Amino acid sequence: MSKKPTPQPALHKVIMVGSGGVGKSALTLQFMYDEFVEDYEPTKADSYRKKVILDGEEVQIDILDTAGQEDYAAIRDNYFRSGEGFLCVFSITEEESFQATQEFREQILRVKNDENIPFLLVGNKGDLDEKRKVTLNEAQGRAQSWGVPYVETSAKTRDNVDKVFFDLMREIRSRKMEDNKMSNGKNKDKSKRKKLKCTIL
Amino acid sequence: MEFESPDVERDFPGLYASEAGKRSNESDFSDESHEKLSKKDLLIGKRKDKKDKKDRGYATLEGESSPEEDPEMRSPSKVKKLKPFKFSSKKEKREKSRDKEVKEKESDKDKKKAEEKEKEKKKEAKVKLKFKEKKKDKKCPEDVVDISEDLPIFGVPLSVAVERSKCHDGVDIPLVVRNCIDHIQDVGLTAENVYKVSGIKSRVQQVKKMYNNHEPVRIADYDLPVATSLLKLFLRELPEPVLTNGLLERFEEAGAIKEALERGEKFKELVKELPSCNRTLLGWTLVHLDQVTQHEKHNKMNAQAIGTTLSPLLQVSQRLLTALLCHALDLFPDIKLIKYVPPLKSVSPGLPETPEGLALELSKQESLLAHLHREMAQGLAGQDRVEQLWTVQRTVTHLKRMLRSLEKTSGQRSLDEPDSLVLHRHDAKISPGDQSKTLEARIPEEKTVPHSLTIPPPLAFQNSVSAPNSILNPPVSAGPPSVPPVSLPSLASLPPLVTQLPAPLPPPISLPTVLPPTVASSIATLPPPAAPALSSLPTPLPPPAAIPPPPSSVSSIPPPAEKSLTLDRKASLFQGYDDDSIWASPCKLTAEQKSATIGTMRGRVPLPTDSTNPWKRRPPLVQQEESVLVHKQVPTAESLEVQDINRESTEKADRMQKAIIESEELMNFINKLKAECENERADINKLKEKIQLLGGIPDLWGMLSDSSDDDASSPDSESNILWKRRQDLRQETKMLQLRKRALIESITSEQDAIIDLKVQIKFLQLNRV
Repeated sequence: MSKKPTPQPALHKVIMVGSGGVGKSALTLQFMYDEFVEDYEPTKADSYRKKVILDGEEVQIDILDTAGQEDYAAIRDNYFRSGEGFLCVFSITEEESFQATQEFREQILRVKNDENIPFLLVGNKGDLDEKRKVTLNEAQGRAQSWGVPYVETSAKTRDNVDKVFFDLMREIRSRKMEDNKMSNGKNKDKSKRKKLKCTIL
Repeated sequence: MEFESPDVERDFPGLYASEAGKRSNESDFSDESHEKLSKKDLLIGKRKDKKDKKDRGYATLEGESSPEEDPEMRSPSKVKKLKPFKFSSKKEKREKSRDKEVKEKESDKDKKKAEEKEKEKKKEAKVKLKFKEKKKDKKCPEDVVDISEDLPIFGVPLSVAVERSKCHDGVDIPLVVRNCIDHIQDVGLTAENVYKVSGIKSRVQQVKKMYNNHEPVRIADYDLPVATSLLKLFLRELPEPVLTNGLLERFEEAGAIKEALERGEKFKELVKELPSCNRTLLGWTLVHLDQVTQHEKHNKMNAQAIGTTLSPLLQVSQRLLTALLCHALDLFPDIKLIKYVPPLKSVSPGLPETPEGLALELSKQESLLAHLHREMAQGLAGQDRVEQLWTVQRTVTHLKRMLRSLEKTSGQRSLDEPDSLVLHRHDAKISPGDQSKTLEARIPEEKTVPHSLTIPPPLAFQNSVSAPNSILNPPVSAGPPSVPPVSLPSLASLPPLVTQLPAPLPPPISLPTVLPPTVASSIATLPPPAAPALSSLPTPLPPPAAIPPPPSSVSSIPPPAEKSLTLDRKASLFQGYDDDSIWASPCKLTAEQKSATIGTMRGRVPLPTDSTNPWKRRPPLVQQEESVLVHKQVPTAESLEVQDINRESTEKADRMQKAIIESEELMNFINKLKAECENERADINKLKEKIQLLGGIPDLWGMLSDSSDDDASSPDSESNILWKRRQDLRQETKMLQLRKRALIESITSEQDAIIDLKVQIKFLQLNRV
């Protein structure tokens, strides 16, 4: 259709996962619109797109804000497949949400079938340090065992909000580059073949 | 990419050439019997006949296996050929009359038709296979999941087809049918011999395959005959006739009824018995065909002709179809052939602006989303689909946000705009503060407008107080009371000030001078009311990172926001004080404030993004009031758009308010009715008691009264009188019972009325949403 007059900026697909009420939507909205939503309204699924500058390069980020509630698990799975990077969010004030990250991690690995999928463990509600239930060590330990970074954020104060998204995008980007290198020859062939076919036919 | 394949096929009909030899051989073979029957000297006549057939839209299959036979193979040239023949119906007739052989053949037509159908089907199968092969070659395997074999739309039960090929606006007919009907309604009503002329088979197959593959199709890009043929094909391939096996016979019986009225009644009954998707499809088809026949003058298709052409497809007799056509409008009075508007493809252009439009679009998008999820759950997960899923999800999110913001603004009776809700909220939040600061800096006396606090807020505003708050303004309920109405004395001093502001862009909306002073004054008077506001909140606004929230700084954000919104509204009321240049100021300030904020507070965020989209950024909740004063003022185009939009949303808000008032009135009415009902119930209870009294001790009562009479009357007449008395009492009881029944009836009817009203209210509320 479009004859690609201008190269589209790279698009990175980020998926927010985590139990209900840990602040996935709050993080997303803070990142997207700089707004902090106080009242809680469970998300079914929401998707946003934003153009950002990642290390001097214009890229687009697609954020999918999923449902924490299990009720929407079926919908979530459809998206997991298409996700390129995951922010696994828990609330440092809620032990259960931290435990649930294990499940989410497993679920993602199952769907993606890839140990090295770009992934960040995010401890949200950092502003409520006095109510902290999950220690920094605990969280860092888990992140280490998974081989992923751990970042504490606060959607309320916007602490580290940009960082987590940008870090994840960097990971996705480098991952994509790797993939390209890995199957460079093949990929090129394929894409060429794809386009040539049409004209041949 | 999705559209590429058809184009390729269209442009390269030679694609089929490789199969041509094979296929023509086969058709030779299958037609051998025919060949034998016909003598060689008839060959010429036969050829003519064949042409005839083609003209009528039937792909000829008998006779030679020359390329002529396979329209697919020569599709481009065929198109040209077909056209002149469209107008040659008279010629045909002449030819026919000359050629007796042809006539004879014609009598065989039905038989041939059947054969043709079979042939077609065979071909379809072949084409399908071919397509499959081609597809495998053409596309990268990982990109495409070929599901046409697994989840086809053609040839499956209607209910399944409806589910798989969905119209997302609640009309439950398959999208294929809808698209075809739309297209034919658009261009086909006046086309001669519509439905008789067949589409190029390869195209039809191609489009069919696209539908089967759940690819997007623009049927309007194809010739009309393709649409009619596709529709016919769909109907023909339905495993069960539209009228259903069970009811078909009864339909036929009904169709045989001579008396039109009776026939209509019978049809109505039967139609009610149809499954809903069959009923809808039948309705749409009949109403559409009826419109075709109404254009008989142009398209030469009267009910008879339609009956002849289409009855085999619907597997009904011609008589029945013709009869159904006559009753179409009676049978389906509520079916309107609304052209299908598919869900929007992207967020940006053409989004509706009214809440109704938004809600409608949202429901479409959600239907589409659910459909996509279903498809994906069934294993349909191409890259395109994933992309579409994200896009649709994004649209849904966007629409929801728009709707929510609209609801909120209408709830507050203040102005906001859906599309730029974030942006406007910004303005709302920042501008008052900025404004006031600037004003304070320049006109210190503004600060001291104490009287403004004591003036009662305007009525409109009071409404807004009770309305739901926006997410961003949790303490709103506290803010409004402190908002002063326009303080006219301070107004006078303002215009000059505001006009000093740089670059007054032509604002679409005329914004009164009212805004700045009020804001300023409200700000000035803020701290006192703000403190209680905070304490009353369940969760106060996010406090600044380090400092415990000083009430004034925290609350200074939300209340002004509310105020400015309200002021916008007021502004529209005070058009007399228009000063075009003024309105630019808050927005300018906003923009400048934002950039300043970004500069000072958002170092970690990549700046270019922000500066391109400054309005997407919301300032931090902690307002650094001092810094505000220093900011330069830069106008933005967005801010002006907002105002324009504001005016529209005022109107919207007004409409909404009206609707609310209406529904409130209805509620009151219902309450009244309820009260009446209660009263009547009480009456009934009383009556019941009476009846019980009467029914319970009538004898005793009668005896008592009788006995009093007895003394006076003669002993002979005693029993008589008693008997009479009893009769009377019985009659009275009956009367009472009747009355009771009547009352109960009236109550039930009243209850029905209440239910009706409730439904109406629901509708109103829905409409409002």
